Amino acid sequence: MTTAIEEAVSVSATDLQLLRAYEPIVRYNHGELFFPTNVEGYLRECDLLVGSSERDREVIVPVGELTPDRLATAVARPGETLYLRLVQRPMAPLELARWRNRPDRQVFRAPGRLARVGLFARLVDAAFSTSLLLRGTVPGGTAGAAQVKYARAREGDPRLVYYGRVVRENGWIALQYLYFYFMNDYRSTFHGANDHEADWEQVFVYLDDAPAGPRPVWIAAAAHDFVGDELRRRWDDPTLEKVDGHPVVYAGAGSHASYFERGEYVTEIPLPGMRGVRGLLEALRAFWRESLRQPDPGDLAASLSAALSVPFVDYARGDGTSVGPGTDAHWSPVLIDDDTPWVDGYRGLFGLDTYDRFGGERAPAGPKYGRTGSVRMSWNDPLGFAGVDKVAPPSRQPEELRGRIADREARLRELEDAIARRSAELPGLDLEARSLAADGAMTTLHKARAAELATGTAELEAQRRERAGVADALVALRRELGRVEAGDLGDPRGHLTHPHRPVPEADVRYGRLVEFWSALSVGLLLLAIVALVSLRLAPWWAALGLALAGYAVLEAAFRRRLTLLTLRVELVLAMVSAAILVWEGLFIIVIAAVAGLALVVVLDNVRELRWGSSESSAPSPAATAIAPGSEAGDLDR
Amino acid sequence: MTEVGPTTQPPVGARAEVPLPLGLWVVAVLLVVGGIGFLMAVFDLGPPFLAGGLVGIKDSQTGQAVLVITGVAMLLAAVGLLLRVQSAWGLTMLIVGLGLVVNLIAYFTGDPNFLRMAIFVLMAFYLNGRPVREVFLGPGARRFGI
Repeated sequence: MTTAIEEAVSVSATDLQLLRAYEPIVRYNHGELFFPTNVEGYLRECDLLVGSSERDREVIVPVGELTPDRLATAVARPGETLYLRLVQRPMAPLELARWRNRPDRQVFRAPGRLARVGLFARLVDAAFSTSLLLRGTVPGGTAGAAQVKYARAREGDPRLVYYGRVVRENGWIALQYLYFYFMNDYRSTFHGANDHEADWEQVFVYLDDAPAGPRPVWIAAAAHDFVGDELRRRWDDPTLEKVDGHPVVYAGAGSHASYFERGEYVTEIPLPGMRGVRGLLEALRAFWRESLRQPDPGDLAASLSAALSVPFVDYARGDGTSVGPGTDAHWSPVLIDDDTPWVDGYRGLFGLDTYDRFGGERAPAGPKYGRTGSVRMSWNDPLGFAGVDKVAPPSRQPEELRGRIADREARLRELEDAIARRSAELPGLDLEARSLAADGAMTTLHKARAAELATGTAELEAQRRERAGVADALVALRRELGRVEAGDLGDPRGHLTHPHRPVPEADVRYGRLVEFWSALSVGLLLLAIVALVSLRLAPWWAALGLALAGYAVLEAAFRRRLTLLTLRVELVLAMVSAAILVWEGLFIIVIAAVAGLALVVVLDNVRELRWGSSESSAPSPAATAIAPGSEAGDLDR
Repeated sequence: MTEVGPTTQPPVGARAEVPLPLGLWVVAVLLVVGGIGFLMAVFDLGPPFLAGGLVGIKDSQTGQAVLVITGVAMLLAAVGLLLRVQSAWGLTMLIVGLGLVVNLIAYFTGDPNFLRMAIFVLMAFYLNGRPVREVFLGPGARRFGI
C-alpha cells in the first residue's frame, strides 16, 4: 500500500517526465541580455518595498535578506502595493557609457523601424516618446545595472530554469512552462515599447490524455495583444517548427514574447470603429474599381490600419543563443503549483513599481497573480486561456461525435412525430375555419380558428425548417465522424482568424538613406512648421500644408515613388474638382439625370411594346425555345 | 482533302496588341488644340480661350516661356499617345494635373471655368482607367501602383 507522500512523489515524477518530454526549445536574438533563471537568485539581489507612490514608499526587507519563504509571508497594507526592487541604484551616465562599450557586448543591429511606417505612425511614436517624460518609467541605466546583477547571479547559479506546472482537466493535460527573466529591456536595448524589472513569459503544451498514452495536440504561447484561439497552434501546423519532438519558440528581443515563426513582428494599434469603417472602405473600393474602372487600390482598411500602426518591432530572429534539447544549453525544470509558498503567498509585483498609469513600465506580478492581486486566467484556467476548453481531445472526438449524432437523431425523430401530428391536424382545421367563414353569425369563432390555423401553419413551417437543419447537421456529423475515425483532424490552421505572421523579409530592408530620413523626418517637419510660422513666412494653415507637401515629396523621392505620388495627387485633385462640379452644378446634374432616366424608361417601354406586338402576332422561335425554362423561374420564386 | 492555311494565332507568350481606345484619340485632339492654342497665344494669334486659364501670363517673358514649353509638351504628348509611348502617358498625366491645379486656383480666386474643369476631371479618370493603363503599362498595371 502506497502512502500519500509516495503517491505525490510519483505524480511529481510523472509530471516532470511529461514536462521534459515536450519542453520547448527557445531561440533568442543575438544581443539578448537576460535568459530564464531561478527566482531565488533574483531575490538575493532584491529588496522588498511597500508604498502608495514613488515618494511614499519604504523598504521592508533590505537587499540580501530576502528568501522565497519570507516573500511568501509579505502582505501589503490597504491602499499600498508590495513590490520587489532589483536595481537600487541605476547606472550613472558615465558608468552606462562604459557598460555599453564593454568588449564582450553583442551588438544588436536592426533596420530602421520607422522606415516601415508612414507619417502618422511616426507622429504616434514621437508622442509616445514624449509621454515617457510624463509617465512613471523605469529609470535610465536600469538595464545596465540589472545585467550586472544578472551576470553575478549566474556566476553563482548558471542553470537555465523554467518553472513547470501540470494541470489535468476534461481529458487534457496542460503543461505550463513559465520563464522568469531578471528584466524586460525591450525599450532601452531594442527600441521597443517598454522596460520593466522582472519578466514572466509562458508557453503551454496541451496533451490529449488518451488511453494509449498522452499525445501532444496544441501549443500556445503568450504574445502581445493576442488572446484565445489566436494564441495556439496545432502540433501538425506546418509553420510550427519541431526538433526531435520538441517545439521551437522564438523569443522577442528584450520583450521575451513568444512567437512560433522566426522573423520580425510589427505591433499594430487596433483602431476603434475600424469594423464600421471597413464596410464603407470596401464600398468605396468597389465603386472606384467597378464603376469608375480605376485600378484596384487593394484592401483599403488593411492599408489604413497599417498606416496607423505603431512602429514597434519585436525582433524574434532566433540568431543568438538557443536553449533546450539538442542545443548547447539545457533546461533545469522546477515544478511549482498552488502549494509552492512564494507562488501562492506573494501577491505583489516582482520588480519596481513605477506607478505608470499606462501600466507598461510596471513590473509584472508572479506566475499565479496579476498586478491587481487576482488570479491570472492562465493559472486558473489554462485550457480557456488558449481556447482549448471548447475543443474535445482527439481521442474523445469519436465518442463526442457519436453522442452528438445520437442527440440529433433523437431530435429528428421528435420533429418528425410533431410534423406528422401537425400535418394531420391542419387540413381539418382549415375546413373548419372555411365553414365558419360562410356564416356571419360565427365570425368570432371563425377568427379564433383562423388564428389557430395561422399559428399552426407557422409552427409547421418552423418545424420543417428545423428538421431540414437537423438532417443537414446529421449528414455533416456523420461525415466528420468518418474523417475523425480515419485520423483526419481537419485544417490545422482553421481556428485562426488573424494569425500573427512576421513581416516579409523584403519589406524590412531599406537603404541607409531611407532609414536616415525616417529617423529625422518628423523632427524636421515640426521644425519647418515652427520656422514658417515664427518667421511669419506663412499663416499657420499654409505652413502646415507646405510642410506636409514638402514631407510627402521628400518621402516619395527617398522611396523612389515620385511618379506614384504625382498620380495620387492628381487623382485627389480630380476628386476635389469633381466634388466642386457636383456642388456647383447640382441642379443641372439632377435635371440631366432625371431627363436621362426618363429617356431610358421611354425607350425601354417602347421597345417592350414593339416586342410585345411582334410576339402576339407571331411568336418567335427563340421565345418558344425559352418557354420550358419558365418552370425553373417558378422554382426560384 | 482539307487545306490548312497559315495560322493567325500569335506565338505563345506574345502579348496581343491592345487596340488604341477611341478616347485616346479624343485626348490627343484636345492636347493638339490646347498646344496650338498656347503657342498662338504667345504671338497674339487665334482666339484667347484656346490658351485656357494661362492666357493672362503671356505678357511677361517668363509667362511666354511657360506657354511655349507647355504648348510643345502638349503636342509631343499628343503624338506620343497615338504612338503608344509610355512616357507620353506620364507627360499627359502631368499636364492634366497642372490643368487641374490651374482650374482649382481659378475657382478659388473667383474666376471658375466649369467646362474646362469637367474636361480635366474626365481626362484624369479616363487616363488612369484600366483600359488606358493596359495600353501603356501592359496587363500588369491593374493594381493602383505603377
